[in-house]
Amino acid sequence: MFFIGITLGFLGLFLSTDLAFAWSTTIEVNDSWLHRATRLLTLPFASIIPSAAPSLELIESTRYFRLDDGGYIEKITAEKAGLWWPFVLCMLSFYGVLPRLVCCVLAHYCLKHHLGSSFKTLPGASDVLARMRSPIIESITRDQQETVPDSDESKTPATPGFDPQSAKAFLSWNKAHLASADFRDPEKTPVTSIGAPHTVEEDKTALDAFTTQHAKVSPLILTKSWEPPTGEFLDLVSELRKRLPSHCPIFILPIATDNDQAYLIDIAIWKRSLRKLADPYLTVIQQSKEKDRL
Amino acid sequence: MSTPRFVVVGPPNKGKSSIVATLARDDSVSISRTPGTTAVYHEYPMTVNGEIQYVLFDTPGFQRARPVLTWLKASNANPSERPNVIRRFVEEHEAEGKYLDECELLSPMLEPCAILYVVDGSVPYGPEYEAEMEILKWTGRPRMALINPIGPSNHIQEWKTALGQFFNLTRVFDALSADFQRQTELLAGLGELDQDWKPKLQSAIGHLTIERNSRLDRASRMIADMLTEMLTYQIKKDFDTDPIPKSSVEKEHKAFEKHLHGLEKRCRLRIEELYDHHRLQRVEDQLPALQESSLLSEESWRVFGLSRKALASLGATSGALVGGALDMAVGGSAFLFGTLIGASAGAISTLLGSRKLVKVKILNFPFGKKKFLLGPIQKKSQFPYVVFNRARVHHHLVANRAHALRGDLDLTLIKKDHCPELPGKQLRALDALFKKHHKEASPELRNDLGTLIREILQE
Repeated sequence: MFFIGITLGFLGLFLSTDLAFAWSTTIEVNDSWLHRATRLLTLPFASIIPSAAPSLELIESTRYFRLDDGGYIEKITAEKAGLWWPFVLCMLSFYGVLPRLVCCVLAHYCLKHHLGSSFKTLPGASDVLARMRSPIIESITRDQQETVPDSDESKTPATPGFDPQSAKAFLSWNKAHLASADFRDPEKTPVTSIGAPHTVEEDKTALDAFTTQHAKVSPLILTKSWEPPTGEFLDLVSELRKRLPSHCPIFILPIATDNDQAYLIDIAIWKRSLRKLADPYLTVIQQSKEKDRL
Repeated sequence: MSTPRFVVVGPPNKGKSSIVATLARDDSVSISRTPGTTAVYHEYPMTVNGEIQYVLFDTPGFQRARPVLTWLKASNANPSERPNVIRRFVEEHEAEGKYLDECELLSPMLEPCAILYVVDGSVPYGPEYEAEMEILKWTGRPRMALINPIGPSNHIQEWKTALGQFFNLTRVFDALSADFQRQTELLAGLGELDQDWKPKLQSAIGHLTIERNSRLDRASRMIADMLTEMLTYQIKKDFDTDPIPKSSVEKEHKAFEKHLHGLEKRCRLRIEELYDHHRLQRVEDQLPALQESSLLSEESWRVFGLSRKALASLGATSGALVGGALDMAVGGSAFLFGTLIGASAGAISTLLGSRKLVKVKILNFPFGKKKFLLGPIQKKSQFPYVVFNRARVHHHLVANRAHALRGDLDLTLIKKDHCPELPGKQLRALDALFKKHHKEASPELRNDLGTLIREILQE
């Protein structure tokens, strides 16, 4: 087997590299046979490039290219030998480069097509593609936020049965008394107005006058139930406490408008916020007509 | 071009955080009825591929507006110096606790920004707001007032008149019910505060719209996947006993339904996450029970894991081999009759004996098993339509839900506009696609269903 291999290898190499051996002398391929063979090979492009198909004359005249000058056969000129180049170039292009190029393009297309279609059929692939194609849009904060839980309402102190009309001294915060017909009439309910639209200085003066006039009377502060107590209101209650005896009750009445009722949730907010003052004699009282918001 | 910055300010408990949550599409924003929930300011930058388009600032509410204004006025500053007085106020008071909220809300205004002043349009206007609005004027920043009606009463006109004296632009924006269109309208309106910001805001709106469409695509595919999975789902199980106990069949029915419920729940969860609702609690009905007639149900015997047909073929082959051997022994003079007779006898005896064979046990292991097949859902069943309409309602509510809403998502109260009747053409197309799923469930069919669902959801 080894020697058969050597023999075949030798012949193959010899035939393909030594043209003189294969064609000119030893094997003696017939010129017309070779012409037919070249015609067949150049068939696909001979009509477009006629010079690419070698003529019988060229084959005959270039057969013996190793013979010395002076022999009976005409010497091959460089010009004649050069007539083979269109054939060689076209053969290389048509049978060598073109099939590879076509295969390459076809393989590339097939690969792309099959890869694409196989990926697209995977479950969730469309989602992945859509996400890859879309820009990343973010609008959330990176700050850590603490969730403030709403306090347990059961801890809210019970409201004593206090009739607002029985109060002797009224303070109105931010003109709250104007919201309700029960307190709007100054003849019936004389109120001392503090907070907006007065200035801070005016408030101080009004508060001094109020506490001087009602030195030992429990004041009732009218507020708007829908506006939660602000820091400014807590400051007012603290100021009032300083001017009143420490055991003197202070009542706060968040009121609703004429056309509406105070919401339980708003009252709960008032109670919850005023607990910050830790004043045991401070009480949020309710009108009788509260309703649940939701 | 500078980045648009919007500082959302206002009195406590008037929906500042709700507006930020809706515009930032962030359901993690802390929103509470308790005043003072927002103690420090938070930044919400809106970015596209990391590039900031605009920034929203959620701030605490005013607590001591009148004293702050008194302090500012004491400076006797002329209008051009007033922004510097604001800066001085923050610098002097940020270390002390009394004006902590004011310092927090004024701090972002020290840099170029626009102010969005939020009030509640469902409560009456009062003089206490004037100090706050006056302070905002002192900052010298462009300002817009947003009337956010929280409750049922309507005082919007009263507010518009009052706010018009302090703000150039006033808009009504309900943070709890604003859908995507209203949100983008507000964003476009913010461009009026500073002309230089318009391109960035328009670009942001463009990206948000693309994202919205992409979400619709993905949601449609999710629903299509769920329906395909439901329509093609089957349970295959082997039983040793004949007949299969009724309790086992019922158990399989329940398992079938449970699987469908699981698919619906998973789809709902995925859609909620797609629309950035990560904390949503649902109030929902279970899928209606599947009637027995809605499901294809089959029982068949198997011996050595082979069906009766396969078993008969095996018997026929064995018989043919024996008959063939006999044919060879007589030198072909039987004209292959041996093979034919052998094959027939093998097939018939296997079929007749298989019922006995299935009961044979070796070491307590039976030779045969009864194969039970449940599903898919029958062609005539209304079940896919029920599932689809439930998915439509859920999608409608989730896609249009503002991120400021904190209550449960109630899927039990279905309104007609959540699920309008489908036009005949779409209904027929849907019907055809559902029926095709009984033959095969190819990726192309799934895509077609997704495309049709998108069309329906978009409307």
